[in-house]
Amino acid sequence: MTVKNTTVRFFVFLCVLMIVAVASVSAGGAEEREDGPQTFRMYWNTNHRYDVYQQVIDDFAEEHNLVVDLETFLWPDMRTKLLTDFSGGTVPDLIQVPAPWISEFGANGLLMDMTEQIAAWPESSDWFEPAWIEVTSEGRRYGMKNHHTTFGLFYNRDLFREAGLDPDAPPQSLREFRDYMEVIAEELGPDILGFAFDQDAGYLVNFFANSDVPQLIDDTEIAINTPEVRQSLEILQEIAANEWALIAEPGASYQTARRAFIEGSVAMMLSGPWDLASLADLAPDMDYGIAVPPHLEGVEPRTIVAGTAMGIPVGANHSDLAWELMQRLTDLEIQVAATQEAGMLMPRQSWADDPRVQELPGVSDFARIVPFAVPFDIEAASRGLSDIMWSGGGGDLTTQLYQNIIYNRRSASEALETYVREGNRLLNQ
Amino acid sequence: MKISYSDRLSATGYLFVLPAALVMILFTLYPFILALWNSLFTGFAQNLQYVGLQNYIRLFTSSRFWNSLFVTILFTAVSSGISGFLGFLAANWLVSRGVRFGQFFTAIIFLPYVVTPAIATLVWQYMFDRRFGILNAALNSVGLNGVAWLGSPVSAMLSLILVQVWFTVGYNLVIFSSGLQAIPKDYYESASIDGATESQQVRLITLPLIVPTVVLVLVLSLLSGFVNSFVIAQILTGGGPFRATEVLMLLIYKTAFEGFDIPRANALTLVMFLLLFSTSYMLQKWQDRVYHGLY
Repeated sequence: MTVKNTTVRFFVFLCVLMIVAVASVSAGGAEEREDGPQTFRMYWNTNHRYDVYQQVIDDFAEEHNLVVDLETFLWPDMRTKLLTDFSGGTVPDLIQVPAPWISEFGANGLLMDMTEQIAAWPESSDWFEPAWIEVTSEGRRYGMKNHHTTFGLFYNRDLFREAGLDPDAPPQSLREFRDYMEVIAEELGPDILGFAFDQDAGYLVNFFANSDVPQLIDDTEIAINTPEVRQSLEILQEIAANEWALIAEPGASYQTARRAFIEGSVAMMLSGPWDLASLADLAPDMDYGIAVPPHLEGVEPRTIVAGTAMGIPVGANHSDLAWELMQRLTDLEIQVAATQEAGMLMPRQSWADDPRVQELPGVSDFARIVPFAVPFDIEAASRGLSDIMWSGGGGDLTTQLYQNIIYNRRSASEALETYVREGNRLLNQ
Repeated sequence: MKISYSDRLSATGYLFVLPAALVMILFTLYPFILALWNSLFTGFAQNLQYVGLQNYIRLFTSSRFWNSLFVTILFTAVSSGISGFLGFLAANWLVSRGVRFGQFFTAIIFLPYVVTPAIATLVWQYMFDRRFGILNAALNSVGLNGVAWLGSPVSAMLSLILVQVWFTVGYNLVIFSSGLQAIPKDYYESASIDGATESQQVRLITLPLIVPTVVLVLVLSLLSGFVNSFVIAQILTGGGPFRATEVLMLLIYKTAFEGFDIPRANALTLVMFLLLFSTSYMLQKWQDRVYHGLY
């Protein structure tokens, strides 16, 4: 036996050992014990872990003799974890994700097609119609929204008063918005500014989407290449260029604009009902209002619809139980209780009509804005064109356009043209 | 069959190697082959279609890839160069002068290396903040205007390099210190008697004798530059503004987890592996050519 032969045999031995190890690990991982309680795995957003949901989950676990493994993530970590799970075939039973992900994952065959189940469920007719659009791809429904929200312009009435502005007259047009910004910078700057631009490009949609351009894609082309959109972006760029607004830096966290608003260093911010609870906690004495984000004069405004949806991954061990839990979590009483607990907006029409909801401050403001909300880029999501998406933090091309506007490197018009050209190329690829 | 003594000896050697080899095969070789195979497909999870070298062709014709490659090389080369140079200067100063409290200084400079990069980078993010950051507060206190550290392509790249140098300079100092301490003092004494100046001693004695240390520092800086660049760029700038800090590792992450394209991300990873491997190999070859031993 030569050394060379020994090396070859050693290598072959190692490979066999490795294959056996991999096979046994894979087989072991797939099995679940029959005797003890079954484990039900679900992924949820860290900030949506409300007491009322926990109670529903606890009751559900007890009734079915289950151990519920509830893992919570922030969105970027959730996406990384989910895509790894989809690749490795180790999916959870139920997921709560931003609604556009549902149609994106559904289009890729990663979520169960729930069209028939939802159609047979009588309560589905109580959902706002746009809430279904977001979870649909090529006519098939892959999930169900459980939070149905949108954006509003939060404004600090005390700072408006200090700057000599009418505290009950938030800016309605972009021109007014720009003028307010100038006044606040002159009267209260540089320590206090008018507005905070987020690091998230998606927020921009709330300023330029309108009844003529409610969707990003119009059949085979990008629809936002209009004079109105261009003019809106130019006004926003002027605000940024004059440093009348706080500009979050590229890697800044979601909290940057919120922190500035809460501590009173900016007079306005764009946000949603998900921040009502933290505002109440951290700035209980702040006198603030919520309005429809300003648009160009003469256009009918639109905001981008936001919120989360639940879906069941293909290959989930307990898909029937997951469907049952989805129904329980979206029961009207649970939705009202979640709103009372966290100020979150919900997708049921009967929820919007409920007097307990209508009397809640903040929530009622958003209830007025929700009818303006549209699933602006849902088609991009279902076509898998993440580069041109606005929701979920914004795709690469969107980020380039946004950064061109708030960091003033190129004219807004030129930046928009680049976005449209590249977007059209991707659309027609 | 009778097994000879030498065969028994080599078998024993293989047994000792077995655990490490298994780990290598399971966690390095197996995923490597899997990634190579996957990079020849398109699609996701079970819905894969074979496309041959299409992912690589798309890669090499993509301006975003070339930008990313340029950004990575720039980041790695400049940060490795500065960090290596400062590490060498500090080590030479501490070793040749026998500075009092030298170990204390070394520990202080080494400290960033043991901090979790993500946590330290978050702290840097607060320090770089344009309005509330301590760096701009310091500039303002001496009457200078604050800087948008992360707001322009050039300043963002410089900020990233600053953080990477801060991370690695202490590690380079320690490696250079051990390399310098291995050079016999007699060489310097003889040179000094012959009238060599301090800079001549560094150029003609120190540098030729620490070639292996230089190569080690370069290879480690290269690896650390590629790996750390992801954490630093992701937290500080997210690759922006205008992709000015979109390093390869970040592009791989975005391609896989934002763009939903794991085969293409695998192709990118393999290109990056080839780049790292060939550079390390060339550095090793350079060392073989120029280094003639310590004694």
